[in-house]
Amino acid sequence: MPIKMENVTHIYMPGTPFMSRAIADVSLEISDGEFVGLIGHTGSGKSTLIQHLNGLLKPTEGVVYVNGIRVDKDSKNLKALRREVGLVFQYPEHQLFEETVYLDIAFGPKNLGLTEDEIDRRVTEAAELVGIDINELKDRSPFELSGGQRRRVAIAGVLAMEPRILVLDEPTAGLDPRGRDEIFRQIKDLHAKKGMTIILVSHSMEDVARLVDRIIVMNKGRVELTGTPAEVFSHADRLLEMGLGMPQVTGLMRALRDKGMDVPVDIYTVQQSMDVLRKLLGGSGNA
Amino acid sequence: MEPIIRVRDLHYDYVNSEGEETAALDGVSIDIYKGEFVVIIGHNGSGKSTLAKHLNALLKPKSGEVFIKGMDTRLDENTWNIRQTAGMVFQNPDNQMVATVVEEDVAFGPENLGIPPAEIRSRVDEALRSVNMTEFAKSAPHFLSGGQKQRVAIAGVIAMKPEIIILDEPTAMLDPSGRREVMETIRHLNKDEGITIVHITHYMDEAVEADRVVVMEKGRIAADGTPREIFSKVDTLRSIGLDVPQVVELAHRLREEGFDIKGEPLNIEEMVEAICR
Repeated sequence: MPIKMENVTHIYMPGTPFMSRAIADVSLEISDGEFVGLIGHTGSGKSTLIQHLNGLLKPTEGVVYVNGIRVDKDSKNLKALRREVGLVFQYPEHQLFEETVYLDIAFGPKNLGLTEDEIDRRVTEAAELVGIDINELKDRSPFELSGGQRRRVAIAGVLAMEPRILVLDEPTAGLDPRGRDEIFRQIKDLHAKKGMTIILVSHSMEDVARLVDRIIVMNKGRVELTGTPAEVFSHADRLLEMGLGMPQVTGLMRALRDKGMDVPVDIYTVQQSMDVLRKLLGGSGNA
Repeated sequence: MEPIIRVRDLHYDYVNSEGEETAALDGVSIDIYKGEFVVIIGHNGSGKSTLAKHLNALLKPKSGEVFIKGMDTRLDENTWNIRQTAGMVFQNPDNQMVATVVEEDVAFGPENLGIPPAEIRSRVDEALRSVNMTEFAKSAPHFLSGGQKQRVAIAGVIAMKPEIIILDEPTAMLDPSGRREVMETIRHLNKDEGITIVHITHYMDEAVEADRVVVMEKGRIAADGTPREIFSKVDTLRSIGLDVPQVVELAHRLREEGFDIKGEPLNIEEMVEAICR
């Protein structure tokens, strides 16, 4: 099992008045090549959880396995783990610092001590994966680019490390709809063409619903629900209790059921709702 | 009635490091009236923020004119009065905090106006009350959530007793509950306190709540109308790279297939009504 967490608990600042338990007794497994959405309220433990996947945090209790590497509270050398898992933080463009786009993407691979040729190959490939034309932009300062381009350069910097698992924390926050769609299309491609395991943290239920194979819902530091989008969104009431939203069409189906209509509970895309409503509205269409 | 914001044939261009000019605003004219709740949508680079910055004289027209409550923004002697009339809230809540205690942060603006301490006290209390943050008056800003920080930023603007508040993507960096808090605050200020609101956002569910939606594209106003008028143009919005709420799209597609969906449903309640009719 490529990612496995066994009874993982993380406590920040133990033994101080600021002590807080961010995740509690979390056990989960993620298979190779899965595309998983991680959702939850702010403070539900999502960020703490993902930082365990590449060893930025070590469990206070429990064990994390990633591609056979075992991490517990006493683990020391986590370099190998960081090469397996690429973590894209929120607003990753804030971490750009080099003089040129090329140097910024090349920073990680350089630190691995790779040859110039290998670095060049990785930079070119990573840029291509995020839709950056490296020949045109390589000598430009990253700070001259548009917000969406800057973010893609930052993601390319993570991809140039060639991780097998990619974790993205709100990768489209603050982007306009066009920038968002572009990033999501590229993430989907990484999953489909490169077979990468993707873990996507997002607040947008509509985006998560249309992208991922499986959703993990965190609440108060625990895994509250897990399943396909259809399974998870069929628990609309529980999502609402946790202060989470749902795709608007899922809410529509719920409202129709409240009116006594016989519509399914597991609808989360416009396309699915079209099928339901065609049947419901029956003969009135000319389709 | 005289508009509280009057923009006429406004042009503005930015010059990049290579000396090339790009037009950010290419002939914008708009009137906004007292008490309106206007949402501006448009993708990045459409000129939304540049327009917003002209509304409180952070930018001055390169050609054309902007009048705020009759004051010409080109005249330097109007700048302070304009900024007091039209307050601005930005995207990143962390960049807008200047003090280490919430109430001191809110007091910062009025203090700079040289207002007497007793009056500052009452303005701060009132401002915190109107954004529902009274209980956090003595808190340190870094312990607040994003939504709470934005509400403090709004309180800081309210303490200046503005007639207009301009919000440049105040919800873009917030989680869903933070967005809800900020939208409730904005609605309250508009409906109950009569403050004119100009709200820039990418979230179409926020646009649906406005009195009026202005769509910007390539430095111009591409459409201007009620949410119902604007969202009836699903194909136009799509073609300029904007979203429509799922329910609006659903109604549009059903109608295309010949189903009789009455009205232009904008939200779940209206869609249920259209279906159950």
